[in-house]
Amino acid sequence: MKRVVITAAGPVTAIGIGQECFTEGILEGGSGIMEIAAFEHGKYDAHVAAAVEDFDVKDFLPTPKNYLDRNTELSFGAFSLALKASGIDLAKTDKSELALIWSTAFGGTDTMNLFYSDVQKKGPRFGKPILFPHTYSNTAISMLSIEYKLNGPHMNFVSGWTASGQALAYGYDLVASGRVPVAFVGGAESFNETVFRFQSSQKILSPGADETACVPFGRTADGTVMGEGAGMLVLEDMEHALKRGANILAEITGAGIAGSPGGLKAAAVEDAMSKAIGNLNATDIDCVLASANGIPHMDKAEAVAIQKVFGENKLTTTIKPLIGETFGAAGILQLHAALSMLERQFVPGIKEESRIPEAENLQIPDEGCSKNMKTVLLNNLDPAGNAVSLVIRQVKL
Amino acid sequence: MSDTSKRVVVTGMGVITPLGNDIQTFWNALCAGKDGLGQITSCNLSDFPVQQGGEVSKIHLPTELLSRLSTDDRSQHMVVAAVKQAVEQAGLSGFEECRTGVPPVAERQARGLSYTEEHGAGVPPVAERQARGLSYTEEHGAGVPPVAERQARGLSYTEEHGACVPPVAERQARGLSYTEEYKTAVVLSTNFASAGTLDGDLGLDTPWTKGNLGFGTAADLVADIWSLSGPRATLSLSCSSGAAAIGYGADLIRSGRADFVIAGGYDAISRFAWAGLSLLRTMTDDKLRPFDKNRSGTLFSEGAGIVVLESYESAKLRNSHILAELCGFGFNNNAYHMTAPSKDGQGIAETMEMALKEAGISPDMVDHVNTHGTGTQLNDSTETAAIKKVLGMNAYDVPITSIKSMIGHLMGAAGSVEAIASILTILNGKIPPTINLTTPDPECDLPMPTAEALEADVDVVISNSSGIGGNNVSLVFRKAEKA
Repeated sequence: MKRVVITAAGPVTAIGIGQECFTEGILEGGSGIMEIAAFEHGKYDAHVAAAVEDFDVKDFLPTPKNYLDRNTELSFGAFSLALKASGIDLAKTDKSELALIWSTAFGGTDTMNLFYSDVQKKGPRFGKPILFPHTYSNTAISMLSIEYKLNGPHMNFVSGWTASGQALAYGYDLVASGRVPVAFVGGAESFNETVFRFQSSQKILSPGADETACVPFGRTADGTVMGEGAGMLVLEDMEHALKRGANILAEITGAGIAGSPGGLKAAAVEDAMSKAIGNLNATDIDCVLASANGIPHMDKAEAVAIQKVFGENKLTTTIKPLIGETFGAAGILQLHAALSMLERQFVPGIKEESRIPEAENLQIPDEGCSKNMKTVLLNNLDPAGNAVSLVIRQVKL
Repeated sequence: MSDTSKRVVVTGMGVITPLGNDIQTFWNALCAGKDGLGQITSCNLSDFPVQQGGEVSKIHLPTELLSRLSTDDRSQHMVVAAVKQAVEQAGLSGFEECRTGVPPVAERQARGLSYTEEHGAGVPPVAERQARGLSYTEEHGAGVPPVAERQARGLSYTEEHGACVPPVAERQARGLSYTEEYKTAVVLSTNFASAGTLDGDLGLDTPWTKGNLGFGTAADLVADIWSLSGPRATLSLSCSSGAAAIGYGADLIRSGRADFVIAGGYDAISRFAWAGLSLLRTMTDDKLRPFDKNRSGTLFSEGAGIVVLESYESAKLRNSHILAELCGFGFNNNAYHMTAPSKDGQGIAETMEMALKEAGISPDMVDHVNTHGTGTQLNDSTETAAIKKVLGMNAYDVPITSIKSMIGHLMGAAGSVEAIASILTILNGKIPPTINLTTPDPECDLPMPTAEALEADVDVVISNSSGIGGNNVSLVFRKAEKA
């Protein structure tokens, strides 16, 4: 078994683009949730989202492109940021040894809608051929492969909200088992009216009109808020990283993936967390970065599981009030946030007067606070019953 | 945790294809060289230039399963019907419930439940078995020996049976909840998921009705129906998806993340899929003629192919019939072009090499290649070049086939259905023909049967898949006796 370390991060989120800005965003605590500006939201039952602003894909493209779906654009942003931060010179690297593991829950929905709009309204002959290849859920990973000439192991997870958590667990397994020395693991989810219309029909969105719409573990929580974002992490065999003098951000000590039939149950969360903790003790975990997002049955299952695994009074928090629920990018952004927390020894708070009974025995700070931490466990959950957990630890050299 | 030396075997298979909705019908048709392609009628494609393809005939499912499926989403019916065949062949049905569906002892006692009252099939609780003087094996055929017998033989259930429920005492001693112990994962792959449901929603300005944009629904449905508490994943790598699901599933067994994996791909014909695939100019209005000089494109089809994977030890311990060993998985991307294969077939050559290396099998041991063989000019010539590159001069002694000539290109299911055909080739010693081949192409000069199946001793098969976006997957299967 190899030790697996993280040597670069590249978040693209509503509160910051790039790991430094993202970390500052978490410390400042200002929410990225705002009234939807991209389309007329009055006819829907939700009105806010955490969309990524001030993002221009041109800043991140090695060569110009005629057309890209937003999902692919965000993917290029995350990849470019993390690659630069990693210090890896692809021109001098055997690229068949680099794995690329990507993820999304919905893929190129904007282009799907655009492409099919012509077909619906004018007929099949009027669909634009240039658009169709951009509707695939593996468009982003394919274009990254082509652009950066990455011809190594290649996998695309579309499992729903835990897609990027599962991608991380697989990247971890590939590096830990020695099959590749480096895995680029990322995920992206774009915000647009097509996905919004769908999610609105699923009755998971809060009707709230401002940034307080997302209240994880809150007694008055009535749904979540859609977020947008992407992230990429460079996972690396520790020896490989040390040999090339890489900047080690943290070590991944374990990953757990689990499921429960018939919707998310505490047992699945407990299972994923126990597996991620692995040979460590529950008491070694300084803080739990929960997946909690304001969807009552999910938050309840998670709170019960945290108490079951860690006992009462476990320090627990979440970043969903800042960046919303980013679905296929949620797991990878959780890990980015956990890196920020370890780096700055900081726990973000959750503003809420009154919490659900299941969360009352968790120690959830109302305001962001400093805390000495070596190890953070993070969760990535979906309502259908999938659970992923990872544990990261500071590396002292 | 990850044990790369752990061997993974296939113990169940199920198919829904244009040539049959069960393994035997499908295999007989393949060996007879039947053409399963024709006019599509299940989906209105009257305004499309090409309406030929491969559609599946009516799927028969028991009412209790049907009632759980969306009536609008044919893809769900294909997945569930194929999973049902695979879990029944693997002996996971019922058996599965007793491992993943049983509430922990404390909960059963608290609720005063008899196992059988709650779950229909499966092991009655210990107390009930004792009260009724039942031996598990007497009552239920395969599975767990009765408690008394286990005690008399001093067996721990897990020591003996790997993949089953530890005895109550052991579970209690180890503080285990039933659900913590044995995990069946579901890994599905698809290109278009529930796109057939999107017609009333995509591209319109009306309120969303019933279209499903998510990719993971089918895997969740399988987990719900069979009460599986393992992880489930959905992958999408265009036309290599089905093979990728099987390869990733094997990795879940090797890494210890699952004890059993239900893995494979599915896709249904839909107007959305057809709208795009028509525009890619890969569809032919002729016959689908892989490796023929006059090949002019592929034809798309629908269906599902599902396998059950487990470790060799688990299969041996529960006396499963091992269908084949899955011993190699290669996966990559050409890093070349979105829709065209690389000119020299380098990408698919590398996945074949990667899969053989993982399998520890030298190229001269390969007996057969089940090709991606789409019938497009570029794919078939580059894939031929790649096979020659990997197998060297031996390539001319290794018969290949493209079953797409008979069933078409099953999109996200293609790789898994072709993997199943590869396993059937090993089991039956017959290589299915590549039909419609009338004019040989000097660039595609590898040997292949063209009218009916070729009898051959086949121990090792490579199954290739490639897809839009440039991704490739190769799987290597080996005969069970050699496993």
